[in-house]
Amino acid sequence: MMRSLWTAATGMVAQQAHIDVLSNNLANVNTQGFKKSRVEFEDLMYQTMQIAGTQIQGGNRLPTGMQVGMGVKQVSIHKFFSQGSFESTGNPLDLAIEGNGFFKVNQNGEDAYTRSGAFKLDNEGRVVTSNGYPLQPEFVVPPEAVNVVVSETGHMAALDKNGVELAAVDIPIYDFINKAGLNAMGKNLYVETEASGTPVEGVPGDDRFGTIAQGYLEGSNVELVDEMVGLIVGQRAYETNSKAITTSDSMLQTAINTKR
Amino acid sequence: MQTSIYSALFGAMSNEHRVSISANNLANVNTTGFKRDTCAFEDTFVKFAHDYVVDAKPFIRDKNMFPKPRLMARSRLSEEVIDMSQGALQKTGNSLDVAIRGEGFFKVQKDGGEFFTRNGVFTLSPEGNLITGQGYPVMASGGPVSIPPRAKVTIDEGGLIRADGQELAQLDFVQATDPRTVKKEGENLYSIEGEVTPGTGDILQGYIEKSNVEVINEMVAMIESQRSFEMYQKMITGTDELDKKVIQQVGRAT
Repeated sequence: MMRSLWTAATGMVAQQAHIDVLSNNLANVNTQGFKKSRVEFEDLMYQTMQIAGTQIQGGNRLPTGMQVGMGVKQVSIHKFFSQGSFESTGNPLDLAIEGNGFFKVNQNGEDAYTRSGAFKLDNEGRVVTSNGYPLQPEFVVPPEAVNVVVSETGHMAALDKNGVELAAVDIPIYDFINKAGLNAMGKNLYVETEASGTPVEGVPGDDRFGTIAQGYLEGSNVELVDEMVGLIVGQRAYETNSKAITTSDSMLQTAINTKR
Repeated sequence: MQTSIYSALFGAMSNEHRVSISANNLANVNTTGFKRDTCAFEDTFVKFAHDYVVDAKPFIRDKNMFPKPRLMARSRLSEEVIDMSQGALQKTGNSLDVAIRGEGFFKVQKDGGEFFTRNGVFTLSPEGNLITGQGYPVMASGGPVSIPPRAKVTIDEGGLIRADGQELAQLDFVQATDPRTVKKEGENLYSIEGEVTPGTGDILQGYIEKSNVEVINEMVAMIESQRSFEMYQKMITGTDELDKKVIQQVGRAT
């Protein structure tokens, strides 16, 4: 059957994936620490009908060949780690990273990384994420502490009512060479992969690592306008590919009608 | 049999090919750095019309009273050309997104061979090398380029990569002397068989080049091909009708 039917079908599948990714970005427009994704496409292989340079009658060579493409496929869906906006919350356990870096948390015995710094205390006084995964290294806030302060360089200290330090820990942050290669686990968590490289530990503020802002949360980096424009582009591309299918279909219909 | 049935068949097949090209262009309407294909047809006259302006043979004893009607115009594809016109530039703000304004290609390495691309959406490998989305190393100063961890990367209009202000490497940026030697390889890659010279375009950091497919052009092309296809089909059925008449009526008494 006609090549164009299948070619246009690949276009519709690709645009479907495009809309899927954009919808997820839009759904997370208010998720703390969320990073938007982007889908990349590439053209599929080409079928060569005539090779350029083939000798033709009279000893001349064809100046150009003839190739027809077979459509499109998605090549990658990757996260876009630009800085999100800051929201002031005033909550001492809300931490935002300004610049590069991730907090490390322990997800049921495995290391996971997050930029969502909305920490809470659990029943034992440990600093945990909203899902209850403890921040690494673990820090227990003593019951008699009245305040927790976190410096720009990640020094987290529990203070009593006289401002005396009861317990303290230095929270390191972690960075990856290829952040786009991290595996998103949902729940605002990422885990390392072969593509991301191994985590590099650093002190906040040092050597291009970001600094920690207490009392702030990092919003998502989704820009509504960009996503809406993307939706329009994706939808129209989807429609136009469906037109290529109906065109091919009516041509087939015409071809079939040749024989009565 | 009438030869027109084959002429029409060639015409119909050419138009089917044309729709395939339009469908591929439309499928890639959102592919970064994609360049649309265009095609041209040529007629293959077996003999040109003026060859038949011959003297009418005046005597019936001579062999031919009229020249044999051998005019067959069969259209077929003559060439397919990549339209290398500029695609729209979209701002992304990502420091590893680069677009080309004007002529030129980035060079990437794939399976030991050199390929070229206009898709400047690059990322970093776990080792810190600059790679394409498919994982092929991007060539700069003749080899792969390694970016120091967490460095702030700037790429100027000439393709010079700086990490934290320090010069790192020069992106390999070329264009083909003869644009007809550029061939598509899929995966957004091109191969160039002829000579290459340094690219004349500008490199823009933080932008990506959208596909240069114009939906309206492709839609019009598709309508045109579809209608021509129908027309050729009518020619086939018309010829068939003639043949039928010949078979059924010629030679019948009364």
